[in-house]
Amino acid sequence: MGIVSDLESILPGGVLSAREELIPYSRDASHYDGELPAAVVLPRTSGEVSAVLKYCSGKGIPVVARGGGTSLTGASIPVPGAVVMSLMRMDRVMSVSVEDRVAEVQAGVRIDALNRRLAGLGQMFPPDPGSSIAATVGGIINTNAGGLRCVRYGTTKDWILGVEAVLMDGTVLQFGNRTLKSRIGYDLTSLLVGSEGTLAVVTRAYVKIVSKPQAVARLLAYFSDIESLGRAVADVKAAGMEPLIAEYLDGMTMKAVESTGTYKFAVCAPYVLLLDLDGPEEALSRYVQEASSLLRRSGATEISSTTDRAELDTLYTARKGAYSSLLKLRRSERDVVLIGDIVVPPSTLPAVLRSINSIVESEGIRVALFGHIGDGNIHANIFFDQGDSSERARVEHFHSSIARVALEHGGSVSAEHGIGLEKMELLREEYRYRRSEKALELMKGIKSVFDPKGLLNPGKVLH
Amino acid sequence: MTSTADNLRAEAGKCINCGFCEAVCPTLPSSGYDSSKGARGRVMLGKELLSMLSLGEDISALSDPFFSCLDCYACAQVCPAGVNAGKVSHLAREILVEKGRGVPDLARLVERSIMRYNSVLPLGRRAGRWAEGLSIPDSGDTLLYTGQMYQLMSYSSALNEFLGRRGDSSRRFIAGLALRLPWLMHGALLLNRRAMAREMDGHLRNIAALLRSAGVNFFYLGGDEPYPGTLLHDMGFSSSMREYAVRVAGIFRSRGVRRVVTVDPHTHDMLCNVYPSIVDGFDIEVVHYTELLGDLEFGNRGEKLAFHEPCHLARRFDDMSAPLALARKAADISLPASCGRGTHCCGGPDELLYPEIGRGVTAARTGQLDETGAGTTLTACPVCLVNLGRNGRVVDISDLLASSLGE
Ligand SMILES: Cc1cc2nc3c(=O)[nH]c(=O)nc-3n(C[C@H](O)[C@H](O)[C@H](O)COP(=O)(O)OP(=O)(O)OC[C@H]3O[C@@H](n4cnc5c(N)ncnc54)[C@H](O)[C@@H]3O)c2cc1C
Ligand code: SF4
Ligand code: SF4
Repeated sequence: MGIVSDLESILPGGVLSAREELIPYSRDASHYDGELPAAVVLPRTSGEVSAVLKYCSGKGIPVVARGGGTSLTGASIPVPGAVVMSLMRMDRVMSVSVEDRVAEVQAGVRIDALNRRLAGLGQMFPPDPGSSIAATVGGIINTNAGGLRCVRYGTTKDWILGVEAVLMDGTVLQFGNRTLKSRIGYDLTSLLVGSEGTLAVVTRAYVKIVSKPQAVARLLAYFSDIESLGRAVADVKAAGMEPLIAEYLDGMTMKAVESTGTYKFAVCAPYVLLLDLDGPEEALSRYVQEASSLLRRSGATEISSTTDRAELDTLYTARKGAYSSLLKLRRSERDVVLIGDIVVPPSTLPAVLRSINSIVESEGIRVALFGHIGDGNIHANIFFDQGDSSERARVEHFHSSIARVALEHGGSVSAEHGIGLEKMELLREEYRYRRSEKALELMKGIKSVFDPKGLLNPGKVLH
Repeated sequence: MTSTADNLRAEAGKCINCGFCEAVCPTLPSSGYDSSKGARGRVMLGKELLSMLSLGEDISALSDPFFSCLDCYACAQVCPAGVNAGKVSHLAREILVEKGRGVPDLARLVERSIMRYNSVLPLGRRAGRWAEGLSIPDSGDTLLYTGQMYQLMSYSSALNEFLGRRGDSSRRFIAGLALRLPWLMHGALLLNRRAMAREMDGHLRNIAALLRSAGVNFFYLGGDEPYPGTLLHDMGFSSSMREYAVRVAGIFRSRGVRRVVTVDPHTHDMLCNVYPSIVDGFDIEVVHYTELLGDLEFGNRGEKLAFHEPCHLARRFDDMSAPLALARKAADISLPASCGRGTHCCGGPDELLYPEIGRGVTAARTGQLDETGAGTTLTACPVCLVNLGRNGRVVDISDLLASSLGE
């Protein structure tokens, strides 16, 4: 029997194989053109996941797990001959316990859907990538996604207590637990977080939840130079403030956001810093005053603030849509955007941003900068024409130059989007820089323990 | 003039593949998460269709993804790149029809019937029965235009039920047979839900009474009233649609119509958004009946109702707040989480060709409406009324308003 008919007998009604059914799974949100998979399977239970993996393992067929398919690094595109395993039918929030501060969710639950459910209980799941409308629990675990709220709450890894996962040989295991603490040997849950589908297929997770912030105020501080903005963030941190969100956008990104009609900035400035402060309603205006005078001292030219729910929501949506808005500035359909995703210690931001700016100016690259600046994460969105090899080479050079700046300031080449196909070379570069190449060998060793035949998402993350 | 293929290229070309639209596309979960029946998949397949056309390949296999799209435009509300996957599907259907590839027999049957009978089914005089005894004039300058939508419901729902009980292949066989034997369409009229027909007539009578109370003078075409051609448009029969729209507009002109009062979202959308672009000089004023009732007083007994906003009113118009504003005067209205421009389709548009998908969408929407705790749903569209009505109690807004008038 062929692969498709075998799979159909394992998963009746859960296999797609016609060309037109496979095409949508050939790409994710990155600029990579993927291959058509051999088939797509849509299991509903971990038992079904296990049966398919066992079969594929026996036949030596690669398997690429897929959630919302929003990866920006090509992590979820199929490799030739692969079976794509979409976890989307596992879309149930199994239970929520406010007392235990935990929710048990299947891998295919989208993040916004989970938060809609939690909002009714006054709770939230903090990781909030810009793609939260479509990204899934399994996907954000596997990319260790970040987002706007990371500055306060950390990344996905800080919110995963345990997972149910299926190994390539079909073994179903639970790592970690539903309790807030568990010291049960090596932390295999954390090992799976950020493993980009190369170690196991996650089917279910115990995620930590937290009460929603009380009242929130948002400050918009405008700056005429990037260094002052960097200094302002460092000053906020040094003053012991714990903002809920600290984001920055450059002029090009601000214009892109405005062009979508979602938000109009009150001031036309080269840079804006968005700072969210929370606390009890009665204390909020004092917090705002304190932050405003600090920002002014750091060089902000204009400052405005709001506590209006509707304006807060619009701004949040506008910021979350910043990357997408920028994509509208492509000169043609052939233009793609490569996203730098470096992170540096916030104290080094003034120097790092100054260096990036001077590289941008000297290389003449079309780039828009924004990022989760509160935790030192800067996204450089670099536009280039796919068909223009010289432009591509310049862009790749620029990409590695800013990665180098990050490394020199004690930062990393990849903050939250993961490695996928796009950053494999940079990953090597970082470990080489730290003289820790052996770490990559250890990773390969771990991969071969979990997946001895190398069938789970091969060719991603590690060479 | 730009061709349909150029329009498709322009719309699909803007896509950045982010996948946001999949998260709100009702047909994706309802198809068991088959991405070819979700918004992003449709956009990708729109590009594929163009590339297949340029290579001279057979495009029939692309039919299901595009014909299963509900045209609900939920996708367009969240797309950061301004793509409307519903529009992509629409243009793709036009190309499939133009090339004569992959067009379902049931769709052809519908086309033939509309072109022949000025309606989806040969209702003839039956369509005007609701107005008997109401002494509505048959001439004037303001036309009450029902578009036969309420009247068709008792037949179409029985027909859908009959076809829905059969598998895919039987459905195809029946459609193929009916294409060859046109008189079978008359046989379809035997499938009628009489109780539903009476209810639907009641809604139209309520609407007429409400308009009279608001002091609107109107006339009605009775059995001469044509269907607006919505399904021709929706299914991609663009050249038949143009011919048909000219015919309908001709009837309006010949009867001296200056203003049309519509009673359902689909007809309203067609006359406001489609006719002006395909009928030269179409300058008839179009209003929805709820827009004429603003001055009426309604009693409010505090009945708890969850309002289901029809896609074709909530998303195709910048401001169609009249139905909700009126409903709030007459009852204690709650809105489900997906509301306003973010409303969720009732599944109706897939009832005929993809009943399994349609019913999944209906079930999902019913679940959302149930979460409001209201217990009963209110709507302002005959298609939503019948579809959601399969899963619980649904009230047409005309009933609520008529029963609360002047209380
Ligand atoms: C517009 C836009 C904005 C974004 N903003 C952010 C941002 O602010 N922060 C951020 O961190 N990221 C961001 N991203 C990147 C992306 O959305 C995230 O990485 C997200 O976590 C991916 O989730 P997904 O469900 O789409 O996963 P997919 O893309 O489907 O998969 C991602 C990886 O996880 C693996 N995987 C998925 N599910 C499973 C599973 N159940 N078991 C095992 N492996 C699995 C896949 O094999 C792949 O390697 C953005 C993307 C877009 C398009
Ligand atoms: S939301 Fe828009 S840009 Fe994103 S995949 Fe859908 S159509 Fe494409
Ligand atoms: S119009 Fe509706 S059914 Fe069609 S692709 Fe968009 S969201 Fe999906």
